Amino acid sequence: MAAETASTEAGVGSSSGLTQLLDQLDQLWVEYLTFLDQYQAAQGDLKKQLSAGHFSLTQANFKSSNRRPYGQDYYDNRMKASRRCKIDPQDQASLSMRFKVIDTTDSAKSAESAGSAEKDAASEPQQQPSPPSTPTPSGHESSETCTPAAEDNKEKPAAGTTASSHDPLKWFGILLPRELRSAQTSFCTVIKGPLETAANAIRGMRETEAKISKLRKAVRKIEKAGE
Amino acid sequence: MALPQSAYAAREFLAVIGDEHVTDPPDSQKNYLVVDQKTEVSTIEGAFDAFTKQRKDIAIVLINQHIADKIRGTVDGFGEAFPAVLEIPSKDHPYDPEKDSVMKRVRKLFGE
Repeated sequence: MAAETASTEAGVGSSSGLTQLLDQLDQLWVEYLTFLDQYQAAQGDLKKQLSAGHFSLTQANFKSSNRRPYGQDYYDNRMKASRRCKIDPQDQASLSMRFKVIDTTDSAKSAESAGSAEKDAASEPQQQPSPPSTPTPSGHESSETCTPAAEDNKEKPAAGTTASSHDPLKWFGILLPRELRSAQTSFCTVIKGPLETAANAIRGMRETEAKISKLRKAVRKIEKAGE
Repeated sequence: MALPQSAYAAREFLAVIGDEHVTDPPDSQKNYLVVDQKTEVSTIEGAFDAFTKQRKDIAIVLINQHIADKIRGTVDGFGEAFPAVLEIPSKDHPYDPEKDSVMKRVRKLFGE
């Protein structure tokens, strides 16, 4: 009798534990399906933006005056990555860390504008070279006095080229077709928006998948013990 | 499943394995591979292994789906937490969810 009571109590305990586990499993499935939905939506957005970008690029190539396609031939191999990724730890139960795409050109441009402003302020006294005291029979001294001014002039375009080299669009010339700019906008939108979402959704699905597998094993164990 | 910060702290670059229409401008250590008709499968696999296993500064790997199909076994077998591998469409090859390794894992989980 006591043994029957004990086994009944154990059965009730295991069934309530099983119910709890099944509830947790349902919750994890909901999270998993949410991440899946985010991933599929991100792939859809990615497809649209890439299509728009490729279409704009094709239009730009069609309208190009020199009939040279905008491609690898124009690339500047000194270019550094203009977009970087940061992985931030999260306190959320569903996602332990999150990808974030950062535009490094914004911080670079602000640093350069501060730097070039400082350069301009510092170079103001030097922009007026002192006139030669005596006329020079040869061009030697005049070239020396002209050199600091030439160097100043070189500094300013150097600051300008550093700022412009962060934008890959500058590699393709000065008068750029509107379609090339819109292609760049589309591709940059892909990096910042759908790509970030898709990467986070993949991460979330992997973590939730591991939790689901673990919980399924625990459920099977209890079900086997109850048989 | 909390990973130590050392596992992901240095990962900041996006790597790309794609055709000429996809690849981003290069970084000093080349985080990209341009694939054309002459590119061998071993080269693609080598680049994928380099970006996913050898290099510790890659956070996300973008790969065109039609190129991923050439190294499908390797891509499907990659199960590490980092980097995230994302299959993207290319100009001439649209995205097919049936071939996507992420969707294959989903179907496997659902028991299909």
